[in-house]
Amino acid sequence: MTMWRAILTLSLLGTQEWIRLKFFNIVVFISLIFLGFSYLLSTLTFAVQERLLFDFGLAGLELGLLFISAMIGSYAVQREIDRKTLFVLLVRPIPRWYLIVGSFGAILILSLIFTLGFGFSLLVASGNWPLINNFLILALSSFLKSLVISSFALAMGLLVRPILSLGMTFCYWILCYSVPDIEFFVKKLQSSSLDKVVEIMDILIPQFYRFNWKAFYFLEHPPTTNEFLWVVFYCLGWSFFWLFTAAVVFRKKEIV
Amino acid sequence: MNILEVKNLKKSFRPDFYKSAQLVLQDISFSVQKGQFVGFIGPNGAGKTTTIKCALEFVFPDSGQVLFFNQKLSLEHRQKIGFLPERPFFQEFLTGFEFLKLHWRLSNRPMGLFANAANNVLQQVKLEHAKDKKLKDYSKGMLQRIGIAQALITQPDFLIFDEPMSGLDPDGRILIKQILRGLKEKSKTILMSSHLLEDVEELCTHLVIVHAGRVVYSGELIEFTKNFKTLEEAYRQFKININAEINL
Repeated sequence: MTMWRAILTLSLLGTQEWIRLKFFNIVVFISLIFLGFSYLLSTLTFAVQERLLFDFGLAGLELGLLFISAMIGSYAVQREIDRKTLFVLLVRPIPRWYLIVGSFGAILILSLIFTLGFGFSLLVASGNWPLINNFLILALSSFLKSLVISSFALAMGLLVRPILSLGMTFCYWILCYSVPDIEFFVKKLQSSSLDKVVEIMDILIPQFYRFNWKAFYFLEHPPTTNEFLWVVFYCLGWSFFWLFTAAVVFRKKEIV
Repeated sequence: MNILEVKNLKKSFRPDFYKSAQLVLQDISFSVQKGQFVGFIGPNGAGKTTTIKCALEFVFPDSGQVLFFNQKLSLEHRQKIGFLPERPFFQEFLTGFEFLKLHWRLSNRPMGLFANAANNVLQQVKLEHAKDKKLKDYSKGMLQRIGIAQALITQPDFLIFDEPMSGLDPDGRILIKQILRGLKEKSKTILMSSHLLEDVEELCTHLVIVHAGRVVYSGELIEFTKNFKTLEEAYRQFKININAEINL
């Protein structure tokens, strides 16, 4: 109870801070413009209006979540260190890892607000409310991916400068979708050593390409409950792994 | 009873990964007893802030030991410690009241007692009128006072103030000194690092002097100043002796 109260306090503090910094508001604004353009574009077509709107909309949702998690994850702790606001928090009777989970909690809250707000706007724009259940599954899968990305960014943000961590996080996100493509080219090269490298990459990097559901097709043919549950546990597992790594690194990090 | 005991602390920093490590703390040993108001003084770069950071585990020493209440620093001990960092930076989007609430919550205190504790401490630092103002609208002196308030709100047994009066105008200094004097009257145990010798002389009962990463004096203030009119005079003579010893 005590633990959750402290973590919730830190999460809400982080949420307030990032909303005040207007970065979150800018992402929301750009995403809404993106949604508006998708809507305009869809009205110009005759046959596949809904398809266009949802294809663009779901991509916009995932990109928005990526920006939120990569940016906030990379800067959350380092910003507190640079601004020296961390000292008075660290002296309180809380273990250091609470601060990591608190920062993660702030990203989680902001991502959830963004997912719900953007999703609602997309459904309003489409007017297709019967699809809401399937849409929620797709939106949640993007949200879960953003949790993996944000925990990775948090861990990297503690190891390297935030700007480097940001770059690494974007590369990581691209890799999470690209392993099959790399595998394809490596097969063409017929190199056994590179084959091994790709095999290892496939283990070490989350396989987002296995649940790349950000398309209208999946609204009509939604994933099964089992597939969705697998995604939930898979993403939570990866998030936990990176959060644990971040906590271990932060435990011995010197706050100069 | 030892509230804080620092034993043979050594700490080096590597400015860059390709540069060699610089020894900042060479041998720091001193203790703070219950009820003492200890002035922690020394020139810039002598290692005062680094010692405090080592003690509070913001950085980790290469060797040596720090004991609070005769034990290694634990979460339980942190409940009993209040800290004001040098040039405090706080979450400026919070009001004074919200800022205190944040620290109260993180200290795991019952929320039912918060309003009373906050009002008491705000009264103590003379900030009742500004409790609903955002911290970004506070002056430097007010920030310093709200910093002291967050250190005091949980009624800790031991207070660590790092340069509490640096950069303040005379009015601000007078006000902070009043607060510190009040704490001294209540027999609080305090470690205060400072550059301002007249403030140290006025407030402190004991003195720890660091020079180039070593403790060169640790003891009563009266003992240190017994042959001189002021602490400044004593300190000046002491520095001449120390420099002469180093040159020998």
